[in-house]
Amino acid sequence: MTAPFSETGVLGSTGVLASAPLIGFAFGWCLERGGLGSARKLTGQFYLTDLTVFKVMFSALVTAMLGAFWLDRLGVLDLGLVYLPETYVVPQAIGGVLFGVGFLVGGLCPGTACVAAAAGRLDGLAVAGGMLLGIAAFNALFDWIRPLVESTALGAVTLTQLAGVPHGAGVLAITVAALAGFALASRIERARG
Amino acid sequence: MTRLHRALALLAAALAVAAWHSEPQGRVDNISPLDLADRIVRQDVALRVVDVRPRPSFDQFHVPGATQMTLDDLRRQAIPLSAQIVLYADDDDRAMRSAQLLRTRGYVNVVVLREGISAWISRVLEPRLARDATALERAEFDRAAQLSRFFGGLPQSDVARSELPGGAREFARQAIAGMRRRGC
Repeated sequence: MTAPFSETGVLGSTGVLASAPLIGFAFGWCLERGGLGSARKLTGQFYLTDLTVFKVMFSALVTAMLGAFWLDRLGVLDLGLVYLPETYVVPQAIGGVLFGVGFLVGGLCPGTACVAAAAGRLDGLAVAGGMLLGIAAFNALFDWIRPLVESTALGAVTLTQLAGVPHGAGVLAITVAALAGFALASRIERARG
Repeated sequence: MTRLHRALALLAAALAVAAWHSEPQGRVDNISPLDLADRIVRQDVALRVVDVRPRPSFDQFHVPGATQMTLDDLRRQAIPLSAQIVLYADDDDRAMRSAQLLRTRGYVNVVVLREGISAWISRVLEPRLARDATALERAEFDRAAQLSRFFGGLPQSDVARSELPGGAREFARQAIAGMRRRGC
């Protein structure tokens, strides 16, 4: 039996729908328990006083990457069936900047905004509301901004495909970058704290 | 940094180094898109073309006569040992790994379509000839154009050299980018 179960049909459409809220609640619970429902903690990374978010997100990324790579190698997961979002260079770069500005101004990102809202924090409710307004505005203006949204398409590519290196080499490079980043982040926190 | 953090960092580093070393070893031969097209046209009975991309990509477009198989299928399904298997994917890495998997099952006649489906599109379906092409390039294009028409392709001649793709992968990526889009 090979994963992903959503693609191989093991879960079925009902199972997929049922698993989504379970994973979502688990993710939210972990974020809240990790203190990431607090806007103060989140904005700390922009002032280099608290780099928890950077460390949590990058360690989650490396854990998922190593897990997915080895599960694929061991035949438990077929990575070719895992959905890979398409790359649109310019619109995604603009989206990244907008996301960063919104993160800094609101103090929360989409996931943590939902966590904060669920925990009853007013700032979380405000950011989650703003997010919904943003989604509505994007949809209302979609025809107008469509040329930009669909520009600079690269298709569903990975970093290793773009660089023309084997997957294993990419895994090693990102892990080394993460470990170096963690060491640097701890040093910065000690110096600023 | 606690002792647990150090242990986890060491574990991650060890897994990453092992990932680097786990890349398939040994050489798997390639077949060019035009040679594959030629064999399909000649109705080579020993030929077995296997698409190892996901089913939605296969359903959208595939090399004529190809069969879609997952890695799981390649591990289990019986293919005659005498078959001459051509594997392709979006990238060479996946096709090479699939070829290695078949090799471990005893299949010796396994080759990989160089640069995968993108090369099939750019070299067979949409070959291009530059205005200032050399004699060698013209001869290659004539062969490609003949095969292209067989598969319903659209060969283009007399294009500016600047309009030629930098590489098969880049050209096909532009051609198929936007063909599929799925929300997340």
